[in-house]
Amino acid sequence: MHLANPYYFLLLIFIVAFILFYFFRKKYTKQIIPSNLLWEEVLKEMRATSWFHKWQNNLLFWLQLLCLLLLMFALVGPYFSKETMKGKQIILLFDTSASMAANGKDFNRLEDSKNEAVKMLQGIQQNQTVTVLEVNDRPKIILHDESDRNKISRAIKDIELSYTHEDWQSATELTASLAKEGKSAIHIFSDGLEEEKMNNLDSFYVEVHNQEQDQEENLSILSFGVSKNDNKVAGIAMVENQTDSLQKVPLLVESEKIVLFQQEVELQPQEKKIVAINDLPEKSYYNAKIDVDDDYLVDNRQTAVFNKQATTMYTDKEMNPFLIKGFEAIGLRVIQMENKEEFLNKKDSIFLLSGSTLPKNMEAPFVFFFVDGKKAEVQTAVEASEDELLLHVDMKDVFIASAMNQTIEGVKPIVKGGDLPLIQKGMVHNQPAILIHFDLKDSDWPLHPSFPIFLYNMYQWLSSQSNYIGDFQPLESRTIHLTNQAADWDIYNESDQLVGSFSMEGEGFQAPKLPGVYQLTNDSDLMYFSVNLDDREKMIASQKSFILNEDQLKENEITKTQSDWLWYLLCMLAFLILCIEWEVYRRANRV
Amino acid sequence: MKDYHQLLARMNRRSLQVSTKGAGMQNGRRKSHIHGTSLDFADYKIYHPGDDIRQIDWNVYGRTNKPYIKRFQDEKEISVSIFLDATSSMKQVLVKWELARELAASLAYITLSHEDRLSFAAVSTDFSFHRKGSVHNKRTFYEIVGVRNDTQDESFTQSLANALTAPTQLVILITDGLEPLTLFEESFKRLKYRNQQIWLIQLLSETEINPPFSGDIQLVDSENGKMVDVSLNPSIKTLYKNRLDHHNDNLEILCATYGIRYCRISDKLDIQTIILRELAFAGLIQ
Repeated sequence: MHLANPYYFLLLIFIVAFILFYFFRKKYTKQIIPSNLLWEEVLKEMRATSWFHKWQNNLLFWLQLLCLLLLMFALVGPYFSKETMKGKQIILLFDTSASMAANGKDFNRLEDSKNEAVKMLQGIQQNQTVTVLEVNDRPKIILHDESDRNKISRAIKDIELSYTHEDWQSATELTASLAKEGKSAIHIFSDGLEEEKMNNLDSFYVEVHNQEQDQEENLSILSFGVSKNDNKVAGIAMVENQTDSLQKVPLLVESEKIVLFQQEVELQPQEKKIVAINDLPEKSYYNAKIDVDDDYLVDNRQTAVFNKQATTMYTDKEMNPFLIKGFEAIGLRVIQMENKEEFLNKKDSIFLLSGSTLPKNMEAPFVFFFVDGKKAEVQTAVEASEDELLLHVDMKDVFIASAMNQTIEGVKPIVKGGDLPLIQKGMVHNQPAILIHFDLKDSDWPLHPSFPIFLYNMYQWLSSQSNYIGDFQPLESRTIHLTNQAADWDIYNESDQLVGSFSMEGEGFQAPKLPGVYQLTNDSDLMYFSVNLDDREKMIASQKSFILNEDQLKENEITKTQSDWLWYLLCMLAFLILCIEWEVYRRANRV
Repeated sequence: MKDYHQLLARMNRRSLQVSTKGAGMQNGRRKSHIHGTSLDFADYKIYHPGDDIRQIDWNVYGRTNKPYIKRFQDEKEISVSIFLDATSSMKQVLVKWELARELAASLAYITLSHEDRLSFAAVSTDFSFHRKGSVHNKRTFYEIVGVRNDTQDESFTQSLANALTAPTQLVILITDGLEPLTLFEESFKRLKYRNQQIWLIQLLSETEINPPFSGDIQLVDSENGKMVDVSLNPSIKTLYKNRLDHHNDNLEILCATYGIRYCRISDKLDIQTIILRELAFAGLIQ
């Protein structure tokens, strides 16, 4: 047997008090007096005349009657009609995408949804269970089949914006798997959810609460990017006026709290405009902002992190001029150095080297050609594996006469001739390296059209291995390559607050939630990355609320349970009357 | 031990006042209206043959030439009974009990000092005696003050019936009167038929007149042990006082009905005041 309300055992206090009451009845101090004769007469007289006594029998009667009546009323179970919720299993879905951060009725739309849900749930009864799901790019179950009202409201209040873009497809699939036909009522709290997206929930009762507002004004930066051309950094921003009136928008670009560019942009209703920003000084990152107080503030800014792609390639004097020409053709500036050791310490460049043995240490990514040394004949045809370097590169008809056979640690062959590694790729001396085990003179590859494509791929791969982590969406997970192999990194936001940490040994890197620019740092290195909204979240969605499949829900056969406080009140009153009754009885016995 | 010297000294000059047509024939110091053999001059009577010729006043004969007899007042004694209520109700309050004993002792002293016959009984105990002679007065006084015998019966009125012996001219009852009036009436009836003057001195304690305690008390009767639970608040006290006065008044009326002299005293007074003032005022002592 189980106890539904074990807390009522606390009423034992009253019972104990009642017992004590009886034991510790009025203590009479004994006093011996000469004679009680007169006292007895006095009391007799009192008894004879006391109105209280005349009354007292009647009083007990009335009090007991009142007590019984109150108990009866309490048991009858009066309650005020409250709005009850339909459905045995109630499933709530909360849209936590960035657009729910727009202004709602009281607060932002997500808060409004949460309040509405909590208010709806006040009518919940004992046998209804609640499941709560959060909808963002990966739907999450927060609560499943919970009846405890406190737990439910706490869980709902703890839901926060995730700033991602909502994935309704997988959310509705998950919901459909959790729901029971005929018994579940699904309530979705969103802003711009349309009926078409609800295909998975055809057999369920769905009520969509779209946070619809009368006035929705939004201006947004749709995109913003910077690039470097001939030592000059230029940027482009696209701004949209989503309102129905003419707007003058101040656009500014700043970095590290210094305003680099400012312009007032005039926009017609529903107009998109591209603003060109020239002559930006070179900084690590740029923030573009439109300084307006509209209903949706999150899309008023966009961050671009400047990608310092290597633009210079250093090589030695003996390098094959064909290669030099090839790299110059794709836009690199190739500098030939006199002294090998001199330029080996340069950063932010890539190196093109050749020789018989690898250099002892490198500070930058490099390509190495093995030219001298023992050569072995390539017997079989060239095999190429799947690799990003070999994108669009067809090695089928390439002939390679001979290659150097050297096993190097940390690299893997991507092109092989039999057992002979021809091209290897990996990390050497903690730097990205591509090792080519044959001399170009021994091959006819340069005559193939795939050769320059390979050069370009090499350049892209090597330069992307520099310290540019890139641009993320909120909460996006991606593996990142860091040249600095140190294990622990800290993530700071623009206000220099620590928002997280990242470990190379742990799970993959997950970007923070709030859009903005962040620093990834450990003791020696500092890198910037940006978190920007998904393009689909750059406007306020707005739809009316609707209900689908109303007939799907079978009516609940629940007996109406009592309203809590009313019968409490009646019981307390009955108890009070009982106490009065005891007091009367006690007095009666005494006098 | 209290010092009674002053009291005794003062009491020497007092005597109990009895309006007597009583029958005592023994010699005492009381002046009887029978012209008798005392030394006090009463009046002259003409000589009739047969009178005692020794009583002829020759001075008057010389002046009037008629023989007159000088008549002297007869010294007679009376007998006094003092009944002291010695039930538990009297003994409960020490002040009251002491005063009762002192009162009884003082009256006994006065009696003996005046050469009257004394019968004393501490009713409801086995202590009683008969005595005469002023030589015993002091001893008797202290004896009565020091009485300490155990109470055997709890009803004064009922024990009184047993304590009565030969009728005396004066009966003094010292009690607190806290018994049903019907019982008193019975006792009075029993006393009445004898040709005696009866005095009832009702001695009450201040604690009985104005109960000093308050709150919730369980009152235990010292005589029969019965218990009454009372919450003493002013209203109940007022009711009680009224009841007490009512009772006392009824007792007084009852006494009057039976020709019994009544005096009410409280233990807040001391014995000297009682003897010399209160009782003198009431007419018992002169």
